[in-house]
Amino acid sequence: MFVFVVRRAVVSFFIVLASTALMYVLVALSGNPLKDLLEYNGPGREARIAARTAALNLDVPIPGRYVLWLQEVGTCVAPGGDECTLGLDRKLRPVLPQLDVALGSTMRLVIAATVLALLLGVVTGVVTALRQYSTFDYSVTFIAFLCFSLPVFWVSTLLKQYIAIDLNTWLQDPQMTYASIGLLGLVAGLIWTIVIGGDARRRLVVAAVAAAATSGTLIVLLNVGWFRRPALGIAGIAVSALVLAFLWSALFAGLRPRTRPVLYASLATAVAGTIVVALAQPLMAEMTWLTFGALVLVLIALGLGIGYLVGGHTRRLAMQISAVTAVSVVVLMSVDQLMRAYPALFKATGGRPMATTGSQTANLNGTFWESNLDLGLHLALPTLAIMLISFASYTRYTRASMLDVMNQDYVRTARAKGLNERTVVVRHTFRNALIPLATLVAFDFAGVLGGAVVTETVFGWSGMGKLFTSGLSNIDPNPVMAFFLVTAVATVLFNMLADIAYAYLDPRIRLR
Amino acid sequence: MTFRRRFTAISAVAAGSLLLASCGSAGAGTEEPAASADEFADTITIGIEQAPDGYNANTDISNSVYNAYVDNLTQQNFTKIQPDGTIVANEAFGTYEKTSDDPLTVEYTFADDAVWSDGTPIDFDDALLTWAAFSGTHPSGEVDEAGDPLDLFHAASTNGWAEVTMPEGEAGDKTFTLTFTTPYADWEVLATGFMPAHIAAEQSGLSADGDGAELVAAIQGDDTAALTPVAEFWSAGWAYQENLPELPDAALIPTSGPYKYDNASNGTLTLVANDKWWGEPAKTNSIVFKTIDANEMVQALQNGEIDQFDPSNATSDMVAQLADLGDAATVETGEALSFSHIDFDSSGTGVFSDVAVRQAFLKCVPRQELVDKFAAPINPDAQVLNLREYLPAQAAYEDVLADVPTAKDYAEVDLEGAKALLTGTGATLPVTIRFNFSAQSTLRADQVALIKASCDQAGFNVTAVADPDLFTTLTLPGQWDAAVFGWAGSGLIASGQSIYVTGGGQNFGGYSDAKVDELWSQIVAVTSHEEAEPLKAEMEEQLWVNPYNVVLYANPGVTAYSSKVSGPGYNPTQYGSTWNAETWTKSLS
Repeated sequence: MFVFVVRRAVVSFFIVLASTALMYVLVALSGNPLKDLLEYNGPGREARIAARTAALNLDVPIPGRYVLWLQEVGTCVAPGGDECTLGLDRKLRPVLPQLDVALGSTMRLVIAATVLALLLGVVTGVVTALRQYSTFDYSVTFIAFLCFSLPVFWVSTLLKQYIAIDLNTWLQDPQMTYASIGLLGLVAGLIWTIVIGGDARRRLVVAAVAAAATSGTLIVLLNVGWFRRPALGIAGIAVSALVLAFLWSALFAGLRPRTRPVLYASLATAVAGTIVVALAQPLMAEMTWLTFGALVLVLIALGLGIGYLVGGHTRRLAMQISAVTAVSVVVLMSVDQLMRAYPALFKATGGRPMATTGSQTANLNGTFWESNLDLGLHLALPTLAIMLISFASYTRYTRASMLDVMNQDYVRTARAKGLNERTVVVRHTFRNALIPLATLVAFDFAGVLGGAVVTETVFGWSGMGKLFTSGLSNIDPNPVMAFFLVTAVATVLFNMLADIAYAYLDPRIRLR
Repeated sequence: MTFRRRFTAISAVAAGSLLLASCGSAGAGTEEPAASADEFADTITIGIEQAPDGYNANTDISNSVYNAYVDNLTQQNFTKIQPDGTIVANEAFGTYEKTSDDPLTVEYTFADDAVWSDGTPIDFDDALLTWAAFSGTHPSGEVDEAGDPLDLFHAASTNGWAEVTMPEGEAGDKTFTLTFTTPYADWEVLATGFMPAHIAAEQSGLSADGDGAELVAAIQGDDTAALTPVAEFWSAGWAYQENLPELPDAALIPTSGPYKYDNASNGTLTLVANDKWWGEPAKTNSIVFKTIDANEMVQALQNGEIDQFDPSNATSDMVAQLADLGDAATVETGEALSFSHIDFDSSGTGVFSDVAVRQAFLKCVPRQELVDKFAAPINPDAQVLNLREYLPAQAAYEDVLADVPTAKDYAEVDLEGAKALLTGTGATLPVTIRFNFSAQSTLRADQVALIKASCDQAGFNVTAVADPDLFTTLTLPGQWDAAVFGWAGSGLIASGQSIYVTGGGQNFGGYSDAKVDELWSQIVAVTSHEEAEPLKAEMEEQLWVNPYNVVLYANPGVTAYSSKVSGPGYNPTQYGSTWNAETWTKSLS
């Protein structure tokens, strides 16, 4: 293991070194860094050209410039050297702070999208594999391939038009004709039918129930002005928390008599959690990350305590699932509070809360919930754009991997020895199906650090992608190299981590 | 269907519907009272394509045009340039008076109540620092590649200031005098770029007490040791980070205009009304500059995230998208202060060294068609350009054009005439032309194709050369014959000199005409626009008689703003549309 890591590290170092040299030369040769100044015919042309030439060391041949850059990187590695700047850009500003800002901005944008796409993609992939060749499977396959082939800039423009501009216009006066409510109901009915499946009679019942429920809910929501002043309310939190508590127990513990305590613990946590949230309402207006964190800890502790007390012989599982339920209550509470912050944000943004660009509304100076709702609404569109595309690949990989494992002998053995379907799927199939995904996730997270070039440009985020593209278009090598250093190191590092993870997950693999 | 499956199905539907239904527990909302029409918004947001890169926009590394957009609101000067290029004195900031023509002497007086937004009066030390920074009289002792001495201050340009002797005066004076050793035509717009000297002094270990007496003494005594840190701070200390993640310490960036800096994050800069501003108060309390990619401006305007923007490179697609917004947005188009033209390599033994070949080419270029295809779709009023030093956006254009009769000779495409001229040179037809254009521009490629279609009929054989590095090729005479590109007009009297005179830095084609050279030597010595006009008209005439280039059209420009905003308009000068943004208002309804 240790030998493996050392050997990989040494090899990786030379790979990164060689690739930086190649990258530097390619960037330096990609155009004329003085282009914009040569086109300029105002006063001070010569002074500007001289300044840029000095800043970029254009009087030094390219290999010499690369060595200068290596020296700059060297000061960051060697202790006690000069200040680490990763070099200066063409306006003589240190690159390291730029990298800092860009990396932070990219993290905020891409991590949420990647995690959400991973969760959603895996869940959908599992369900499609379990119901191979059903209408649902075909629909998801169709949508996955559609998303896979969509150009990001085009999706982004459509998202901006429909989910920001048109939705904002609708939100200014939320009304719907009964015909469109009915149509939405039918669409919802159709989706639920496809998701749930079954014989003709059941499909019909599901479609009817879902259509009626959706239309009815919409009518009620529109009539009470919910779209102007949305909220879940304590009752909403309570009901949703109970439903989720039931769902987590059914999914991860099963509803057999043996695991009944898990269900009871989880339901009790939902009720107790809602009571805590209700009692904590006075805190909400003055919420900070500190009080929020404290509240989260209190709720998780509550869940763990209830699981411990009620769990009986399934104590460990009960504690885990109760904690998950407690986290669900936190999420529901946050959704409720964010919804309650909506009218204030609506007013502050001149009635157009969904943003098409930027990362926050300037000078909002709102409360904890208002600011976070604003950040969330700014993140919504770019996240959706990134998700749509990576979701597709996760779904396909998970489905293929699940199908592969489900046909293994040990899964048949598990079924033959009488394990119930939930245990076979969750414990024997799903876990093993996740192993190949480890590679994919490792590479994707390395890719995350590179930012989403197109998405960042379209949605006005100055992250890693922007650092790279603006550096490249200015023929300014140092910012591009800073970008490249991070992505190159991340790639070799995550590649190595994926290999190590493989060895842990799959005992058949040995690292040498 | 087993019971379990049905149970699962029904519970799933129930769960989904419940989740939705449970959302309805809130009571009915009340309608917000509608804003009345005479209420104004607190903030106007302006879309810009690049974040400003520094508080001091006058250094040799700061070149973002968007610095000027901000400076319009935060920095005052003795003059204000109007959209048509005329110069209007800015009495709020101070007054100036030309007291002598020989030597050219101008006396400036800061307004009595003029103060920086931190309360420090604007006075002599600010003026003296400006002179020190721009005059290029403080050698650092180092030399550049060419062996020329470098200055302590990295000013963008010493143009004009280099002719000014050090202003006399004492710390605290409200008056200073600029005396020019040689006449300088654009003296009226020279006194700009005042930076707060007290900040530069404090940041460089000098005391700002006594109205900056220490700094004044250092400059007057030419104390290089004391001035070195001042120059370093002036040149680099006011720079912003890339993409403006935050502003420097507010104490370092006081302003002299109706707005002051408030905050910045992620490329979004907020200005608020300057409570120390002594002039006409700003109409809207805060102005926000938001950095947005050029292609995303229209949707941002549609969504109300920005209220106004000027595309740096207007396209007909963008104009069409803006038109689709209907009444929600107002779009104004006009002619920019930049123009497209075809340069000739008239040096050495190139085909265009012969005047007749240049004249023939002038006759075959379909200028009106180029305007109709490439400028008119954006600006319906676009016209064929006939002058170089005056552009249609400037008030004097028509007057000067009246004195340039030869321009009319080339008003129509004359293929027969072109062919006759070519034949007359004795050259074997067709005459092959290497026509270079920037490989990155599809617009230029289309234009060259159109010119080829016309000129090939007149006996030319135009070979289009898509050049990845056009401006390097241009400096290599003999490597090209003709090239199409753009120049920016500055509105200054003397700045075009290096394009047209023999040996000029941007005279890429090696054009040389004794009359043009002589006229330019007179033009740079005049001291007013009125004196320059007849000389320039004569020069323009000569550039047609002995053709220098083919001028095509003034590039079309666009400004777009929300119909809720009143005040913006199209401004082709380098100051951009925010030149009067302190008077803009935005209605709430």
